[in-house]
Amino acid sequence: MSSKGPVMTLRRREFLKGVSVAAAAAGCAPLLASCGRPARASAARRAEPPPRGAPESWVVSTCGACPGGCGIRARVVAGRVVGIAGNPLHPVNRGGLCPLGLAGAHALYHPDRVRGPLLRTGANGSGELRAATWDEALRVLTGRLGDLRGRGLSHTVALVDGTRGLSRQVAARFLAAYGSPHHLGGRPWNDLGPSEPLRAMQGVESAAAYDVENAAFVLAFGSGWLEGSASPVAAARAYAIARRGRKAARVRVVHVEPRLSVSAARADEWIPLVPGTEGILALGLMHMVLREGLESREVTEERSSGFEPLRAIVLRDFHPDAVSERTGVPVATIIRVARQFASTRPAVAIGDDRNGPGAQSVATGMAIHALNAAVGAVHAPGGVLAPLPVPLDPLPPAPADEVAERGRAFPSLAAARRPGGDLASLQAWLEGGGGHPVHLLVAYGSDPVTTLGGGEPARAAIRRVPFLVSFSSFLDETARQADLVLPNHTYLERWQDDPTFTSRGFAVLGVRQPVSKPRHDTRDAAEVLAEVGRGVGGPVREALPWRSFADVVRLSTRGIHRSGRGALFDVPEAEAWVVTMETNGWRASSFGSFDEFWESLKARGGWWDPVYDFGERGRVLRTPGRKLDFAPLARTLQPGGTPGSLAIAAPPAPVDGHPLRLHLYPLLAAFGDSQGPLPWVQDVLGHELGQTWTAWVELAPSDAAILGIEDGAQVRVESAGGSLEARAKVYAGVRPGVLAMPVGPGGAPGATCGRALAAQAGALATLRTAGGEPVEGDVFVRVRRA
Amino acid sequence: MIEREGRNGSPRWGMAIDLDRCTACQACVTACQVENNVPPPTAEAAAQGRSIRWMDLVPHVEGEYPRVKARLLPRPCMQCDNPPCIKVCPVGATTIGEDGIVMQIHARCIGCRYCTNACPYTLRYFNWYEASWPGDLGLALNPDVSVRPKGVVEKCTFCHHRLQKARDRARAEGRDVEPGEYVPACAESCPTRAITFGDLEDPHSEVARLARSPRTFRLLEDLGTEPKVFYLREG
Repeated sequence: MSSKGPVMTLRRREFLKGVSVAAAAAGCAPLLASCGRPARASAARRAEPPPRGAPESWVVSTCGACPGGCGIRARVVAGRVVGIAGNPLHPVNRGGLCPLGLAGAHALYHPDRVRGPLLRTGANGSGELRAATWDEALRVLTGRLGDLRGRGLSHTVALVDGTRGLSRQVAARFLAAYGSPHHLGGRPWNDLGPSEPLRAMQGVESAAAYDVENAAFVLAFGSGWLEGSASPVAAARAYAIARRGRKAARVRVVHVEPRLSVSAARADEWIPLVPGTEGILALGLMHMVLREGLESREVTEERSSGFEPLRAIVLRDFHPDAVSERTGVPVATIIRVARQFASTRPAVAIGDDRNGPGAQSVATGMAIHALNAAVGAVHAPGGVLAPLPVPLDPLPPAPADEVAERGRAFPSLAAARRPGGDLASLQAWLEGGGGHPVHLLVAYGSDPVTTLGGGEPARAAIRRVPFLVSFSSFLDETARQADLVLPNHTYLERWQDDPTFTSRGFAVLGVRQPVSKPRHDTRDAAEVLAEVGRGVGGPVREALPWRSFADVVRLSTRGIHRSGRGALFDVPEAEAWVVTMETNGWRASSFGSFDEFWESLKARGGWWDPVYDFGERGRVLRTPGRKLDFAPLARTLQPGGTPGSLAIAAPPAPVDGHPLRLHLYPLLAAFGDSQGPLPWVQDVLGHELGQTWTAWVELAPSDAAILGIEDGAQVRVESAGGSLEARAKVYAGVRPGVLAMPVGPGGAPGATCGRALAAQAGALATLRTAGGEPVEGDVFVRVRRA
Repeated sequence: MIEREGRNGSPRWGMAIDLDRCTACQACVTACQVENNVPPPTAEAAAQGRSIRWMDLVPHVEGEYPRVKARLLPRPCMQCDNPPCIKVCPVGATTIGEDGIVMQIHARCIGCRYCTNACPYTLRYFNWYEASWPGDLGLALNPDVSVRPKGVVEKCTFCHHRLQKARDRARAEGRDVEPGEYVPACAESCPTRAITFGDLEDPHSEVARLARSPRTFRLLEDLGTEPKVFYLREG
């Protein structure tokens, strides 16, 4: 504009370019993300509404936005999914849903979906990918797998599996026929994976069901059982029934957590404590229960083994004074809550069964389970149950040749059973602790980098694998590092079985069927695995002969049909009828022929069996002595015993200059199947704290005052392991001395909608000790204004 | 004060929200936004408090550590029987119908925002930004609900479009609308059955029964707005 005009303009343009390059190079996602732009700034077109009178239908399916498995009905008009509601017949959700499920159509139509296979072009881990055809992509993968197998290296292939049911069996079959022992669990943080306490103390491989509906007293340890449990909708339903929906007295809920979460806000009492000391508190409560003789005799004496040594340690070491010292919970509270818990039966203590950052240690889980046992809550109404499995027909054993046998004979890298799960084992293995290299890693329905906490340590570990394959529908953290992306259909576009359970332990099979035709050039992951197997040849070809995963699902339900047990989904009133018939020995006559059964299964959404036999102890106590085994817990209480032990000895001291203890917690709507951040989810996440669309950390007012940090200020959080930036929320509901940080899959740089939701938790926290224990509570940070 | 009984036997739609059941999951919030084609904000607009949430979860934190209490209140339009908003609209874009629903006629609205200021519950929302759905998200729009332009006010309508559909269906089949046939998206999606909806004029309806409960209160009762949304206390 002035005589300096062109120069000024050039400089400004350069400046603006410079800014955007700098932002990209900074390598961190924008803290304030946005979702699209106003129409005048972008070319976003408004879709034409469907023509009037267009055909409309409701398709029944199962939600896949989180592992909860709620039943849905999708409204389809002119081929478009224009609404999703709950299926009132599905016993898990009975017509209700959560924000993720309701916004499910947005995942289907999301602009960030991977539209076809991708191959890496740039440097390892750069995220530079180019489009490829399926032929090319499958050739690459088949070639690599064939080559490794031919060189006798089939055991260097690992698969991280976040699926369940038949998808999981397909992967297992593939690996067995191929010759790899490394079938790793990669479930999302809140999945219904096996409960470690149940495995260690009951010998049962099963998730735990908490029968809250029938409990009189619920004592919840840890983050968000209402928001972040295996099935948030099921937890919420059970809560409401226990409060208002039954003839028995209103349940009393006490919540133990370092911060006032939504779950804590919905409880009758919030007990703040030092992060990571939940197990110690549980043992302190147990101490009081035992001292006052309130324990349940039938469990502690008749059906238990190793209880007496445990009793001795608990009575000796976990006196309320010592426990109060470690946990910060007042002595009077410990005594009072213990008495209330033990004398308001049925009482149940809910542990935090998540894995991932901030997860409770196995020792803590066992301590809570022992507390349950002490009040007679194990395998009892209103207590902790081992849900029944769904009687699907399993796939027959995979064929094998010499190569397969040899490969399978290697010990699985997860065999050490590290606490922190299979992914912790994988990370340790890749970082040099393993026997042999991993040449090829497959992320199948999983996002290992995020589940390991995200951030550079996790990325660096996974980068060590020379060839990484992801089946994700979105460019999640793992996919962005991948060498090959083979995008799966979203859950609204595919067939699947969804075996799950209700909080009362009933087996449930949800059926997932396509609600929409595939929008992009994606393929069903199980079918792709089968095609790759056929390409590899040999027993792998024989193992996976089917073309359509829908057929696999359908044929497998013959098992249910044959059993005659249970019933198709129906109105709630039908439950009593089914229970009466079945417990009197009648088998369902309403199934009809198998074809009729399959058609009804699809129409209703699934099948369930509302019978849980509390007399059936043989199924839930499978330790060698058929008793509840307290020895594993007692072992962790030996001073100087296993790392992450609950020995009452002095806690780790804060590192110099890092005064705040880090507490990580998951958010409701941040779970899911690597959905890609959904716009409405950004508006919901953190709303109760006024922290939508941003990454944030929380600190107590007293700490904020000392540190000179105002509400809303940008801060830098530093630990010995790394640092990140976030917005500070000064929140009275945080225990002083604690920095609380929400975790969840974050927005990728350049994502259309999203934010860096502290997916960099891994940058801050050393997620495992040398011995592999998750380290909730043992990471110290300091905070200062950015 | 206006006594509003259903005229000519028409229903009077009301809602009961049981705060003892609610787990603050925000399903109601999202269900409403998705059902009613509410445009998602940009991060900047959200930071300015311009996010549109016909059904909102209103947080209120009080107390000092460790005696902190956080209350979370689902809050739709109160559908007042004596609404302050309709009295100030200069163009008649908002009125109350026979069945008690306070309606919003977007085509008439001039965006003066008098109604938004008059509402004591701050539950009316102005479209500060142009509606835009990135990529193909626009395909998921509900064809039964119009998309509002920038510059008009919108608010919860008790999913009035669902009532119209139910009425059309009933008329075609020569019958009345049955209880439970018309349910707003929030009530339908609530996993805890905290939200009950129905005809307050029907003494046997669940919502009428809950409205008479000793646990019941309404927001800002002393203002005389006569809300038709009843809250049931915890405990």
